[in-house]
Amino acid sequence: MKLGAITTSVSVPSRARPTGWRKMMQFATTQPLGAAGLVTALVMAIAGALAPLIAPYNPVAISFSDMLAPPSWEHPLGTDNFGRDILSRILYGARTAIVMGLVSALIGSTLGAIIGVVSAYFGGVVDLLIQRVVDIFLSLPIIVLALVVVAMLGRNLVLGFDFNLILAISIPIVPQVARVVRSSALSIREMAYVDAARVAGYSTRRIIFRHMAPNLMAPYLIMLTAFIAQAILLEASLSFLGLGVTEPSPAWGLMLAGNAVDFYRQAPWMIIFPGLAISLAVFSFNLLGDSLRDWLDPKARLR
Amino acid sequence: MTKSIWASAGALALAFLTTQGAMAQDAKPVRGGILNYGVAGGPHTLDCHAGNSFAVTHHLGPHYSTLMKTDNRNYPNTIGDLAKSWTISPDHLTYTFKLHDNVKFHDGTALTSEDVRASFQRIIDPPAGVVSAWRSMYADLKSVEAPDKDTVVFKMSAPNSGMLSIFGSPWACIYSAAKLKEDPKYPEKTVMGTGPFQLVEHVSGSHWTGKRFDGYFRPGLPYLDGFKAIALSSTALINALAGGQIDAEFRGVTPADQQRIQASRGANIRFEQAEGMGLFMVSFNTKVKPYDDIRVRRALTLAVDRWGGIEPMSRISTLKYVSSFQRPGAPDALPKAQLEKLPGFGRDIKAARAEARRLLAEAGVPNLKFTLINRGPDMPYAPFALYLIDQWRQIGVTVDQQVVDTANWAQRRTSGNFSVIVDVTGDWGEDPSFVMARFLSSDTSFNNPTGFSDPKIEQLFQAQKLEFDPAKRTQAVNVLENYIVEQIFTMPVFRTVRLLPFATKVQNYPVVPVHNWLGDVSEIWLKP
Repeated sequence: MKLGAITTSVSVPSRARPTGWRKMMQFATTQPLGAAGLVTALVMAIAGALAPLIAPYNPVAISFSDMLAPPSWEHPLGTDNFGRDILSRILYGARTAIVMGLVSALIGSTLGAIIGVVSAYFGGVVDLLIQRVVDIFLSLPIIVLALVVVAMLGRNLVLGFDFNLILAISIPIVPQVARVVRSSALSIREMAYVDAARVAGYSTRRIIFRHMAPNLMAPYLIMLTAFIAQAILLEASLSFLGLGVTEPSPAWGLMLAGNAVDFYRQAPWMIIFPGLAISLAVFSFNLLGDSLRDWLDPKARLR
Repeated sequence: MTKSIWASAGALALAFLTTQGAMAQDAKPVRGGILNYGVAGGPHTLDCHAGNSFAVTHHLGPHYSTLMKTDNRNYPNTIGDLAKSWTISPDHLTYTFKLHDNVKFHDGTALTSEDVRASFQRIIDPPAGVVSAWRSMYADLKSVEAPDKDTVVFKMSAPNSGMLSIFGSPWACIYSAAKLKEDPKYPEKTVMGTGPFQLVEHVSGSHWTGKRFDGYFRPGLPYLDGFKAIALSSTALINALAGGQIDAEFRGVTPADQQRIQASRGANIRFEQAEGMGLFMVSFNTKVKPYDDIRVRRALTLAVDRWGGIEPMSRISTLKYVSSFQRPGAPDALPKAQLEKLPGFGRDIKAARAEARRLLAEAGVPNLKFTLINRGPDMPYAPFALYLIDQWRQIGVTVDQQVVDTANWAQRRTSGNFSVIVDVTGDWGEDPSFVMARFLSSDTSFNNPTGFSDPKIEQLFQAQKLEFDPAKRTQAVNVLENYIVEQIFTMPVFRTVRLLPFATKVQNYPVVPVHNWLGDVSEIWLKP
């Protein structure tokens, strides 16, 4: 049988690919809570970035004449027991929180995604071994794992940020993302285009990174945003426990620890405002993550 | 401001002494009752000779006697405990003690001079496997003899003007010679002394109870039927005081804790205070550049406004006094006028900081940066370090703080693995030979981590140690202290307050600076 050239003419309604702006608007209208989360997170990030310009005081300067001052025009969020302006410390603390949260989540999620996709692609013994290691890590609570890592690594300041602390926060994220990405990658591995790439003789690296990885972007992004919130919380927890950022650097978790424990009855603003900042940051990234999941998941869109 | 601090301290001391005096005269002690007190930590050993923390003495103290002891009521004088009387030879090389003749151990056997001899022998020459943490303190002791059952004779290899107070160390518990002969390590397992209370029960991590020892050699004492020392975390301890579950705590609480406890307990609680023995300092590793340069060390001490900072610091921490190495109220302390002439203790902070900047520039480190090693527990280490960092910031020095746990801090301190470290001392006694010994050159004092050596320090130290005339000795001590402060290998900054809470029913416990021993609990009584 001779196969002749078959030409068909199908009329497809022309539909322009949505632009970035239209996508944003679409996201904002379909996911208003997520948009609110995104805006809040952006405001925090910008406030942190502009802290040296907008903070009314030096966040580390002690001023005993202002110690434990309640919120006022002079100090809108009050001062701590060293007379340091809480608003300024929160603004500078946003830098720590956002940078630590973003970088840790990025490192942890990316590493986790790579491990997950490699595990799914190779399957067999490789998958078995990787997943058992992942099981071991998953059996440990995130905070315990982070505590162990931070205690083992000590400190290593890079550009004013403790890179080992970033690693300590990243490592507990890795197995969680690896497990989720693997489950998505398992179904992608069976797709015809992956088989085709394999038959075409493409290298394993090319198949994984060029053919499988782009199709895992949705779960990756969802996990990434969700873990930014977790990383911020983890950084705050470690600082609260004295294993994260150290005084006098401004950090939200640190503002809740130390002398705040002794003075919160006298000066409740010492814990209320940093606590609110942590809650708001975590809440906004969680909202963003949940909305991204709904937005990117076609099944969720159909429901 | 400073005048008012000193005036307040004086007034407080006077009020305290007056209260104690009035209490002693007016109130008639009542027998009976159980004293419940909290201890933030369990004893790491049951052997006094191996102990070195308050958690040991706050448990073991009521069960043991010592040869001499510090007089709570006439602090820091030394009085006899087991010793009824004593004589010192004119050359200060022989100390002869006569013992009370009615002393019994808790097992009913009579105490003799042999028990005292064997106990001190165990400290100065411990048998294999026995830990003697205080051996070096008795380095001038050559031999101990027990010529008859009531007499102990100590022979010295060199005179030591602080020896009498060293005989009163709370760690020098007297054990049974017969039991030591059977097993030199018995004190690690059995608590059996001649103190006012017998051990009833020790549940590790929970509680430690004692009952009155009816055979105690001081007539009519102790007043209490017994005591219960409850092991609590620092936070739980404050909660227990606020809730009335415990009646006292003998280490000390913070001003913030005081406010909280007072608010909860109202008239049912009172607080008494004294200058504490905790001296907070900064040590420099003089083997590391640029801290080998005295100009840099001098700049760093000049930058710290001690007088301006102490009042606000006392409101947020347990740091309450500007202090050199000796407690401001100690008999041999530097007079205030003399102290204020020393680097870092002057009143003109602007001039001091200008001089500090000049010195740093001259030393080639105008924008000095370093990491300050600090110890984990929060109070008062955290506020102390924060204050220093802010003070140094004002002369252009950038400091990054590294907070490490106690074990890590101690390891770094002793091994010299630091450039600048928060340092602390908390002695059990006041004698200058004891207090100043840790500031001898590093090659002489294992407790001086700075690597600094200067033979003149040893000469001055020996001069005060060999001086037995009190006025001349004070002068010699002042010269020594003056010299050490000027070398700035360790810069003293602030001293703690010892702030003790007592349920109002707890009577007759004079508060003294030392928290590392419990004092005389046999005289405590409870108001019905």
